[in-house]
Amino acid sequence: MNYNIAILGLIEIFSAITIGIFILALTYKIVQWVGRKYYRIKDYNLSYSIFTAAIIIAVGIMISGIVEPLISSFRLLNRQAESFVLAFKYIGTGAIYIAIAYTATVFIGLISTFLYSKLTPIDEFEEIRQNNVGVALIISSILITLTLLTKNGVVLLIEAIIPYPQLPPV
Amino acid sequence: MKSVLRFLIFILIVYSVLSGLINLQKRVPEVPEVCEDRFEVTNERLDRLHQRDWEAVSSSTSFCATYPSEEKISQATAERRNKITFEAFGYEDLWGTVYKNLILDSKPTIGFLVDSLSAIASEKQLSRSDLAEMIVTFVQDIPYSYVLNINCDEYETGDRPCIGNVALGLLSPYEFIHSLYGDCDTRAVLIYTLLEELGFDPMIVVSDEYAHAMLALNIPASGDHLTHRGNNYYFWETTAKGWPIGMLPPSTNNVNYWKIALVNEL
Repeated sequence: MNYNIAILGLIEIFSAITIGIFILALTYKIVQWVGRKYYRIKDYNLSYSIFTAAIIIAVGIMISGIVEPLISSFRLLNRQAESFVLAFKYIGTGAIYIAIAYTATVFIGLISTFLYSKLTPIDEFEEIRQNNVGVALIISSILITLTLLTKNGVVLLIEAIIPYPQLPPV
Repeated sequence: MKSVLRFLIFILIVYSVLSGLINLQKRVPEVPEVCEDRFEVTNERLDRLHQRDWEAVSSSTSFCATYPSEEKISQATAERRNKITFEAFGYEDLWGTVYKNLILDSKPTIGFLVDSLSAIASEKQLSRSDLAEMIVTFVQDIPYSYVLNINCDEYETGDRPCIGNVALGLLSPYEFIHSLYGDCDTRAVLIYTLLEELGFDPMIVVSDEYAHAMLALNIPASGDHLTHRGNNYYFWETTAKGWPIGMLPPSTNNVNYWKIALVNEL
């Protein structure tokens, strides 16, 4: 067994699980809070559950794109620092990447609901509150599609801030 | 307040686990040897004595090598390189044929460097992966130079060193370690020759789209790779320091644009 690769694999698994738990728990709490405070959705109905699930999937899709850049950053930082400093830098780098990806997802979420509200004469959140499953499905589809379309761009944005070594103009 | 405390504990646990995992990977830093990059011309025949000092990319291990090189052998390999003839039907096939001829011709001339690098590896008790990394970083450490088949004045080289009017725009491994002028494929050919002599399974990949050549190596690694006959060959950028195995630069990271030029089929 290659010891270094095994450790790198463990770091990747640990990072993915940690980021996943943190982000999904945070997203769930935020969606719950927004629904309660601004749209008076107190009890979970099917439509709101579908919408919440779509947001969680969208966040998951976007955040999955940061794991590879994060591991690349780790490999590049690995030589430079002591373990405790490196762990600190790694968490800091991860936080920046998560912030970028999360902001992008929130932005896409806002665009998708705005887009749908402009296309239709109905009040979407009122419909969701009244358990209109059809509306929830369409908003969720728009949200997930836009996330899939923009994921590569966001990953590229994150790649741009990875501290790659300088290359000569070959 | 409770949520903040829970969040802080979460971060602390993450930090502790990460530090522990990273610590497992870290090695005890060595005291660096007194060594510097230099060469001196040792006689009127323009033979040289080189000293190279370089560091691994995944750890802080440093290496020091001293080797002689003869102007006469360098010129003889250059003459043989100029006479290379080939028949090829495509971009990667053309370069593969050229590289193969060059490597076959060069093997007898660089045996001393293989022995010298093997001795360092034995002394430092390096694993196979570390040995491969030592060889690649030895070449990465040599500053990039243009090797052109036209006059250097006819090309935008900036401040970088340039050697012009070289047939095929490529130097043989011996010429490279003697002159220390090397572009992307000159480097890939030298590393391929060294690694193959040491029993590794390397590959040279070329890209017409990126106008670039690179090494790929079949060893246990992670990251960007090509799969050939069921084996994963991990890309390794050789034109600059600091690039680890399996990491393609963002400017050349479309794996579909990389084609196999040379691989040991045995």
